[in-house]
Amino acid sequence: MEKKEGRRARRRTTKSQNNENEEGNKSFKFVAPGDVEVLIGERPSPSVWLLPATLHHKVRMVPLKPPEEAPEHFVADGQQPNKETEWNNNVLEDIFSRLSLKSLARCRCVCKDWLTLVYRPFFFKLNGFIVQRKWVSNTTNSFIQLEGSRENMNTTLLFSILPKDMLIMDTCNGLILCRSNSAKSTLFVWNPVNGQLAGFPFSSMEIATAIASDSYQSCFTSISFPKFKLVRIVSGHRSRNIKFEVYSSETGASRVSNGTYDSSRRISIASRSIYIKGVLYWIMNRQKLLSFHVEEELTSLISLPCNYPSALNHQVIGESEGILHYAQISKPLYLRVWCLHDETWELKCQLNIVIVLEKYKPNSNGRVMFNQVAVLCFKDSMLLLKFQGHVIGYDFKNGKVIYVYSYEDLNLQSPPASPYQKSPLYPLLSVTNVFPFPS
Amino acid sequence: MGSPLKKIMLCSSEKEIFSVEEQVMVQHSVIINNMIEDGSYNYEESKIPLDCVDSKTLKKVIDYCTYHTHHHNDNQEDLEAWDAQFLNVDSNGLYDLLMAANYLEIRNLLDLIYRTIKNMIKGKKIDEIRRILNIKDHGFTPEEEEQNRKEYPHFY
Repeated sequence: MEKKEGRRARRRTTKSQNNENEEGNKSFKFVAPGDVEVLIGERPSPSVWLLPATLHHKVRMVPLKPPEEAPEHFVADGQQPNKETEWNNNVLEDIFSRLSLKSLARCRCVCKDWLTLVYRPFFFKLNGFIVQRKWVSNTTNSFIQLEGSRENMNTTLLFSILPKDMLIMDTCNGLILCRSNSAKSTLFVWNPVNGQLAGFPFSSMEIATAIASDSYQSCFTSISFPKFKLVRIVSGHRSRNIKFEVYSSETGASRVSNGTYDSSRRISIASRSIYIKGVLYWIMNRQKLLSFHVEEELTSLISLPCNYPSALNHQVIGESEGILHYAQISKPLYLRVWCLHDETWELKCQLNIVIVLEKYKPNSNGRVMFNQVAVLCFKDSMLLLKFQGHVIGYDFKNGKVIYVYSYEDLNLQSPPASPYQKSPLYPLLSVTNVFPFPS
Repeated sequence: MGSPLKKIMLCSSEKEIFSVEEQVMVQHSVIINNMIEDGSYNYEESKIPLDCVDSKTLKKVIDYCTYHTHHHNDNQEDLEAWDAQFLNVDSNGLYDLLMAANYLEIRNLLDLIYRTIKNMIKGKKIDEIRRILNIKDHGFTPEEEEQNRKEYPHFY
């Protein structure tokens, strides 16, 4: 409400400025691409385009139907700023929704009213991956947009659409769980559609935190925060038993759930969580999958389809068509993808990874080292693979391969040549995380 | 729906009355189509008041609808050339057309105007957009503006 008042006040001042400037009218020609020639009269304009002062007086929305059916602001003279803003915002949103993401990113900086307006169409359109690089002192966020049909996919790289300084931990149905670099003891749930942040204390006992939200639709259609639950895995004595702490945004309270898990050996979590149909999954050590049913608070362990241990960057879990998938790269160079059907693993695809890399770079001569390849994440049936600083997408349903980005692309916008990143002694100081969004 | 030669009356904000073939407006304007269909329009007496549309704009809108009704079989290039010529108006005229098209719900005209505006913004640097659309008060504080320029130098 306060914000609206502020906007109105600003409009009023702009209008009066306009009157002073009215005399200095010039005009010039502007040729729009597509050979549509438009003559633009240069005239003073308020901060939101399409709201020229002259129009305020000229346009009066009068109903075609009898006035008693019409909303109040149609009738009352001079008391219709609400309608005007709303309506013109619709016009702008329509235009924005036609622009490419690159143009939209630019529009955010044109003026402040556009910034707030662009947000919605901007996030409506996102479909791809958030790539986050963690540096010693800060992080950079980029977004890889997947565009086009599944057969003809291409990518666009967008920078810094997310708040700086935030470390992304998890995403779920358009909500982002993150941690601030500067306020390390707080976790945030961020709703990118309206920019709202909700903060929660972070406890040092946590070994993993996950976010679970079913309301994908409401996240993108309503202004309010969608319902979500935070599930924290808290370790007990010597990390040999774990408890689940569940926070619900509906009740605003968190409590320790009945579901626990005890083990004779140390427990560690080796992946981000995946939330599918009410159940959260994590890859645990010893080739097990830990699952937690959020509503019923049930825990269970599922054995992964292969028993020999796999390195962190050679295995990933993800969701495709509502089913849990597990992808793994194994020696010598096999890529295998399983899906979990009725508690049994079903092998979906198995191929030599050289075949995938050949498609993207035909002259690699098949000389691929096992350690050069890594799996990053899933998006639908698209599996992201890392190979020598390049990221390629492999669609395991139709076998298509697309080039997604190279780390060099990302470095262009990163802090000025960090020495750590290239030095072989500190390979871990620059960590890249990739998240599908909206997942 | 009535015969194609039936006429309907449209009344502009200056109270000037335009008589248009019913079919022309019904085909293009959702709102007039609805009125005719639900029978609230009386051919003998009714005038449709369009108090938010001035005569000049209304005339253009009618031109557009008439042309597209009678020439919808023309080839795409000719139609596009005509559209480009049609939208060769100053920005005031463009706003007025946009408002009128939105009010009468003439979808293809709206689409045409939106596309034109989109092309005006597409691929332009921020300074250019501000100049083209004449945005002087961008609402950012000098610090925010400086920060933006530093962060996205390629945008400006």
